[in-house]
Parts: sequence; C-alpha cells; structure tokens
Amino acid sequence: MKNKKILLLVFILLIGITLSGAIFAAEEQTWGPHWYTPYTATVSANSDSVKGSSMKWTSEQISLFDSNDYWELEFRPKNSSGSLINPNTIWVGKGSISSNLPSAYREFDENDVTVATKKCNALQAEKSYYATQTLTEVSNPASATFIIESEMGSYFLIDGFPEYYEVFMTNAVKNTSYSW
Amino acid sequence: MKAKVKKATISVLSTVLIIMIALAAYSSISAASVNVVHEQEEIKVFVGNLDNTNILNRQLFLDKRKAVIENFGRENPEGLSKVLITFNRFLTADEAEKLLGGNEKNVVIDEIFISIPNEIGRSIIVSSGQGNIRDEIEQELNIMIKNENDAEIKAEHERMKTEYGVFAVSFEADNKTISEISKSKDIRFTDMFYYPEAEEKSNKTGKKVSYIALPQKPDGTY
Repeated sequence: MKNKKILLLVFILLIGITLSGAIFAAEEQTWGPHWYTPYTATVSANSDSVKGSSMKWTSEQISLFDSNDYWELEFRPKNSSGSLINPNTIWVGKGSISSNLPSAYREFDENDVTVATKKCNALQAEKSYYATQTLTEVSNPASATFIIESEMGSYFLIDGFPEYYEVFMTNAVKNTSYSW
Repeated sequence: MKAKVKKATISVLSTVLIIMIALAAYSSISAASVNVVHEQEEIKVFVGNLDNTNILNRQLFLDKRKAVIENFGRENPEGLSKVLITFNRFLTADEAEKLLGGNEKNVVIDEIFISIPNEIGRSIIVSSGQGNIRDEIEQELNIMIKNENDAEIKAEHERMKTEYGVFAVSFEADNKTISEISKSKDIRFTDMFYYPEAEEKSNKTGKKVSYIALPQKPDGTY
C-alpha cells in the first residue's frame, strides 16, 4: 500500500513538471523595472547596432535567478501604423556581437533583434555590463520606431518555464539612447 | 520476527526500485528535451550548450547528439548540415582554420566564437563564409571599435583583438566531412543545428524553431 502511494506521488510529480510549461503562458508585467531587469541601463537601436550598456543588477536581484534562467533585451521594430515589421527591412541580417555578459548570445528574428545572457546566476552585482550586436543597414531601410522589452525565461527540468517580460518603451527612435 | 524483517526488506527494495525506475525515466525524458525551450511564440534550441544537463542525463544527451551526427553521415553523406564544434582548448585563428581544412573541404563558416581566456564574456563573429578566420575576426572587431563611443568598451574590443582565443566555430558542410572533422582530438563536442524533438513540436504547434549557438568555453568561464 505504501509503495503504491510512493509510485503515485512520483507519477503526479512528473506529470506536474511536464504540464507546468503548457499551463503557464508568457506574462507581461507593467514596467517596474522588475527583479529580472537590470536596475539601470542605457539602451538604443541604431543604424549600425542594437545595444545595451551600463547594465547593472544588485546582489538581491541576482540571488533570485537560478541556474536555468536567461535574460533578453529585445528590440521590436514597428511601422507608423503600429504594426510589427521584420527587422530585415532595416538591417541585412544577424550581426556579430560583443559582450561581457556571461554566456552572451543574440538573435535576429522575424519580429525582434536581441542581445541576451543564458547564465543570469553568474552575473556579478554592480558590475557594468554591455552587449552590442553590430548590424548593417539595408540600402533603403524601413522607417520604424522600436518597442524595447526586458524578458526572462527559464529552462526547467524537462521543459521551459513561464516567461516574464516588461516593456520599457513603445516608441523608441532610432539612433537615440534611452536610460532608466 | 523473521516475517517482519522479510517484509521490511521487500518494502525497502521495492521503494528503491521504484525510485530507480523514476530516475531512469526522468533522465531519458530530460535528455530528449535538453536545450529545447518552448516559449509562447517560438521554440528555442541552445545548440552546443551543456549547462542544462546534469549527472543523470549528460552522457545520455551526448550519446544522442553523437548518434545524430553519425546517422546523418551514414545515411546521407553528401547532404549538407550545419553544426557547431566546441574545442577543448582555445585555438589560434590559424589552428582553427587548419582544423576546418579551408576550401579543400568545402566548409562554409557561419560564426566564430572568441574570448579572452579566463575572462567572462565573448564575441561572436559572423563570417562572410569567404575569408579566412583571422581576417574575419580582425575585420569585425575593427568595425566594433570604429562604431563604439564608450571608451571603456572600445578598450575591451582592442584587448580582444590581441588576446583572443577561438573556442568554437559553426559551419555548414556535407555530412561526411562533418563526421571526419568531428574526430579531431581538439574537439570536445559537435552539435548539429537539428533537434528532432524541437522540429516535431514545431510541426505540431506551428511555432518556428530558433537555433541559437551557445558553446561552452574550455576554461569553464561563461
């Protein structure tokens, strides 16, 4: 009887872990910034790059990350009607990146350009981080403003965990730096 | 008394067996999904990453990924695939160039991963696929230096130019060439930009798969 109870508990645990990724969807949060976002940063979408600099996290913030968390700074271009447009109407394609973020990476997708870190719990408190994705403009780049977002996600056991994101700006102008 | 001891022994052994089966099931399931993250809008795959493995599933994961390369090499040797090779030490640009065999092996380089040894951070250099590794790295770092306004960050790029080591390269080549290159003693892990579990999920959900190269550095820094 006891063994059956143990088996049932293990089974329920495995099912729960499997379903956790399916049940929860990405959650948009009102700009704080929240705990996963650097408490200070300067960000910009430019003709030749997207970048974040002077990005800092506190020790308290870093203590809330676990080993599976990743953080992304996303730039989403949109046209004058407010519709998202493909970044390849502005830049040629993915660019080189240089960063002192731990396990830095970048993306160049259909609706956003990103600089990111896959190892949030290796961040050092009060250290000034930078990440620049160097880009090349197309010959006749689309006119756009940018939504700038801070987003975190997590790989947990056997599937992704809920993402959280918050929007810093909805109409950032190209070649202009913004700070919080 | 004897009956009680026998009953207790069976209970303990049964519990241990159940736990072992559960752990084996978990490690098998988790090895299948390592590096695959299901986000709301897309499926992300972190190619080359070993951070999401643990003592239970790492070897299973590495064996699975090695089997993917071997199967492609055997079943479709002339077919083209894209892979990420991670080195077990920092190589010079020339050593990486030599390992990849240059144009002789029809290897088209996509990205070159460099870092200053023993320091956190990296640069990922997008290759034109035409030039040699040393020139591509220098050219891109020069562009970063020219475009950067922050004096401290500019200085970091300058340092990278003279102190970098190459720790990974992603490239496209035929599967036979990939199998051969993967045998180099300088390569720690070869991972393909193809994860069947992610592709299956993409077919079911309609979500796009985004492959992100995230190789690990040989010095253990991030």
